[in-house]
Amino acid sequence: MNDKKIRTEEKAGAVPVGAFSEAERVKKKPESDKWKKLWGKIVRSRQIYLMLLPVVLFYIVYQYVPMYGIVLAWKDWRPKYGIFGSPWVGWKNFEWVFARPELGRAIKNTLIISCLKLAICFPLPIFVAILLNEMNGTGTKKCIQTAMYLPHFISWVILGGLVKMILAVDDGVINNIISALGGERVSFLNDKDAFYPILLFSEIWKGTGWGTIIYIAAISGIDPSLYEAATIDGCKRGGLIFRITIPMITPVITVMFIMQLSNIMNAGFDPVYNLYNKGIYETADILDTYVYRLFMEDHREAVSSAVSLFKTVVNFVFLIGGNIITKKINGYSMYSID
Amino acid sequence: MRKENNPNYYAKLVDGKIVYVKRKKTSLFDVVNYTVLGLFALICILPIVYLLLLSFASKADYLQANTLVFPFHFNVENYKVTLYQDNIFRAFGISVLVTVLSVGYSIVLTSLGAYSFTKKDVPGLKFIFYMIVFTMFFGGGLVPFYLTVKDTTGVNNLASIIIPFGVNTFNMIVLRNFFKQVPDSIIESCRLDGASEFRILFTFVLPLSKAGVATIMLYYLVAKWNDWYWPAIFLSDAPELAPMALKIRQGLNNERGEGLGGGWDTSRVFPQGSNAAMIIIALIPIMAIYPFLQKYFTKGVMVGAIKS
Repeated sequence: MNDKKIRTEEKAGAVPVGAFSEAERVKKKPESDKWKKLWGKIVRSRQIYLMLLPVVLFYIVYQYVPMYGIVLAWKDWRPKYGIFGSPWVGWKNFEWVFARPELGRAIKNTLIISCLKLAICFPLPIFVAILLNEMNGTGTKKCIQTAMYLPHFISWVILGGLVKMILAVDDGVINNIISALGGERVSFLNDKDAFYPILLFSEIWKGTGWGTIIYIAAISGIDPSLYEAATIDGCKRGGLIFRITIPMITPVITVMFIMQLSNIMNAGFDPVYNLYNKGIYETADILDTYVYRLFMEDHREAVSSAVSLFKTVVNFVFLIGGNIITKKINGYSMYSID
Repeated sequence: MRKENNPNYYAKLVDGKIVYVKRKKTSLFDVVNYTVLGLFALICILPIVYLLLLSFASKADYLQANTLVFPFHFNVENYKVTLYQDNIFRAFGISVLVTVLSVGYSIVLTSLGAYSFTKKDVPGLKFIFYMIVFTMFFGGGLVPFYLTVKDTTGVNNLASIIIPFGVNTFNMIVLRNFFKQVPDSIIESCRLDGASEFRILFTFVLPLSKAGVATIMLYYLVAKWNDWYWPAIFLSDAPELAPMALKIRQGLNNERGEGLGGGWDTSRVFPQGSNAAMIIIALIPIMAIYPFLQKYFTKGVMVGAIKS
């Protein structure tokens, strides 16, 4: 476009001003045409703009307006003056919180929980999906699937209550069994070393069945002729699993893995918040719960904003990195529009 | 099919002759497979079954029990306590109201956005899309969001837990992937017949994407029904408006209010039992809807997640 413009100008310089040749007029036309075309497109899309209006308004009011609030991280929050009226304090909030041992502890626990989830909770749905695919009885399969998806719909509040009920010291089922067998009652929920197993078990219970859906979908997308060909070539069941099923769903596994990996700073607020207690912060407190407590309990709103900004920025870097890798592998990114 | 080609038969040499023997249908692998998966499925539902048993048990059962509590003295006192003392009827009604309104509002707003983003050749559409996706990862934080809600809908009213939660960006992307599967020819012929975009969306595209709508409906519904976090923040000074999920959280944390009325038999009530009763009440609506949506959501998650 620029190129054309320059050429037009050069030519315009060569002939007397105001004396445009016929050829000149033809050449100039595309330029005005473009704007006309754009305008035409805009007019034709007016209904779409009208449809988008409420959505865009929603995002502006509830997502973009609150974004001014990140300045709070550099301010001394005084509710009376609002966010703009509160005095600037520079990096004081960050300095204060980075000097606290709680933040280091929360980062450490967040990373540990994320890595444990990645190592244990991530492969399980793949495993279960492959096993499910090997089932032939449709009736049994349906029943098992229905039962497996169910925990996904139970909230963490309820699940947290359930876990506490089952593990309670004086009347929990597990402790009842232990004491019936002649053992000592154990206070699982106050044991800081027991927190990770409890959390992981709850996550597995809630998420494994639901997690299989995407892999089942991927497996059902495999071309059946591949299996037929392999069977004719003498491939047995194990061979079919390891030489066809797993290689064919590897791209999906990779994408899911990268998505999980880029979420590494999110160890999950709900599960931890509903399962931990004051006595086991040492192993259980994560960034999200720390931010929440700073806000709701300590009323250090500005510090809470600072920590949450720190988390968001780190997360954002991971996400963009993950997205670039996914795009390389898959040819498309999760969050694009084409 | 001839036995030589049939995979259900295998060749065996008997007295110098080839004999085709039918394969045994169940191998060891099958046995192990069915057992493992069956056990896992059992583990998934057992806690819920146990809660059900617990909720109908009486205090005598609870005190006699060595390991598991079984309802030998079947009674509904636990439910009575929950319903009267915790004012659960009201909370249940509020939850239903909020969930219905909120899901309706979300579906309309989300489908408007999702349909718009299936279009090509709309100037600025891409920019708007990326601006919206950006909000998935970046936000202002709790304080400014709270202040914005306070300025628009006010707090301590039900609008404050509905209006600010209209669109979930992820759900919008999922629905958009469904809408993209509606053939262009249908939309084009509707347009030639003079239908407006709104009409095309609500009378053709939405009914053709039933699985997609059912899927995101389920997402919105479950999220709203189970949400205690935002009600705890926005309804902090209006405890009479607390929905079910918040009540359960308070109940399980022994933050119960003193209620009047009822006439339950205190000798039959125990905390575990009344907690179980409360949980069961909260699970009823989800259990009721789940079977109807199940056939859709499996397909829904698949199309939403894997773009082909």
